[in-house]
Amino acid sequence: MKKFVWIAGALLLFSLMFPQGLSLPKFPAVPVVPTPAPVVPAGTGDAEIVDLLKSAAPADKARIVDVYTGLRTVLLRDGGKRVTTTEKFADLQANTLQLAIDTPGKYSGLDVAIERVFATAVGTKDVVAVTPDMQKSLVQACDVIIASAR
Amino acid sequence: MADHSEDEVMFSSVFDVVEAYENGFVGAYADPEADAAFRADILAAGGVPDGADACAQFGLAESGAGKLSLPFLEIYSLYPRCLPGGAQGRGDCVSWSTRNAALGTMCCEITSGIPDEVTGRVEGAPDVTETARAYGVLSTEAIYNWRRHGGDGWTCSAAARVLMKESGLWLRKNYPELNLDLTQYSSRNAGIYGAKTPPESWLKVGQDHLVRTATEVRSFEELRDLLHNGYCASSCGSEGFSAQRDAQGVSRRKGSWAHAMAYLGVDDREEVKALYGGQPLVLVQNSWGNWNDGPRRIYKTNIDIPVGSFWALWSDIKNRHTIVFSGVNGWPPKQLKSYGALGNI
Repeated sequence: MKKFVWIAGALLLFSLMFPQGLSLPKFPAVPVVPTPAPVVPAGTGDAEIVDLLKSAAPADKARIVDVYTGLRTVLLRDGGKRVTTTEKFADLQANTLQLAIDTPGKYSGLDVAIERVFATAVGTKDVVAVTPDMQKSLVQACDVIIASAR
Repeated sequence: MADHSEDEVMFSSVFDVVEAYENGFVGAYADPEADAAFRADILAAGGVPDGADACAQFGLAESGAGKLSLPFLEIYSLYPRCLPGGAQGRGDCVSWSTRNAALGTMCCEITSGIPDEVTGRVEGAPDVTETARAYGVLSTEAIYNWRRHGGDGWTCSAAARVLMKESGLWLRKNYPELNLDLTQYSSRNAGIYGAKTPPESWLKVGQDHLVRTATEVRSFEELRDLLHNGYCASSCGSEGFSAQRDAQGVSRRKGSWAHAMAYLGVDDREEVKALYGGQPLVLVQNSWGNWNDGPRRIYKTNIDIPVGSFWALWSDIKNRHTIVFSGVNGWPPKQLKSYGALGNI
């Protein structure tokens, strides 16, 4: 009997809270844009970045992994349509880091080390087109940074 | 071809220039042979001589329909207030028109950030002094010395051929190796050579920044779509215009000038066309300095057209011989200051 009183009480409370019944937002049965989880290959890290981050907080390392996983995903999904030049990639990386990193300079020399990874991958300071080969190089640079921060 | 032997005319002021053109001075003239040679050179360079074909081939058709397109703003973004760049001091309007059109295309190419189709690099804006900027960044004289006769006047197609084959764009600066200072415009420097072409040393400098190709434009739609995509135009014709702009900056036909002028913008907005009986407008940059008056504000914007320019109705300029320039070779590559991480992590 006591069990029924509880159930009746719960139903009464529900009817008071939602007099019109539940109106759940309607979403499509399947996502419009499939969003597979990014697959980040386990690459070789950069020794200097590994060293700079060896005593870093796990949350900071995770943030770096997230940022560069995001950048590699954007590069791969874009396929050179929007990020058409290395200058546009530089803007993308700068804007992303400015939004994602609360305290730039916390790990002194990390920015220079990451710059070096990209400089090695790209091979020139000239602004050049993000061709399929260049896209691959930029993604590989992201992989190096991700592996270094893991 | 007209006879232009040894009849050099120097102007002492803008009033002289306007008066001379209004009284029949021939700064630009037609030459079917030069036009044919020009088209052959475009084909030989792998270009498309016909503007309509170029628009279709490169997917530009209708891209500027209904829009206000202002490539001159790209010039100003790199070289503020560099137009009109002085005033012509002799009958070298063709070289001024050619220079202004090529400057427009060059700046649009640089500001677009689109990599060079040959090198894959994105080119940066070349540095010039303040004086050079005030005189229009690029030399007109280096072009005019290739006119191949001792007098004044030229054809738009022959000047375009020079830019493509012999003497491209020269920055306004000192060229000590040629004992030639082109930082400021000089009508005398425009006439160092004439019937005798410049020497090998000039040719060597001129080859550094050749214009890649050009195309002839006949319809408004071609011109509109090419200007919308940053390809500016040089035009030769006999149409004269009022020195007084109307409230919208438009000058109507008045008199006759055998003259060359550049096109650096186009207005195909419906509300503007409605003001002029359905006619779209083309922004004409003249080479007579501050020669005209009237409002410069673009309709329903906060943008002013350059000093010395005016809007013309397409119907007033449709018969002019119009040449649009493509990209320019060889400016130094734009350099990255950072890949984006520096100072941000």
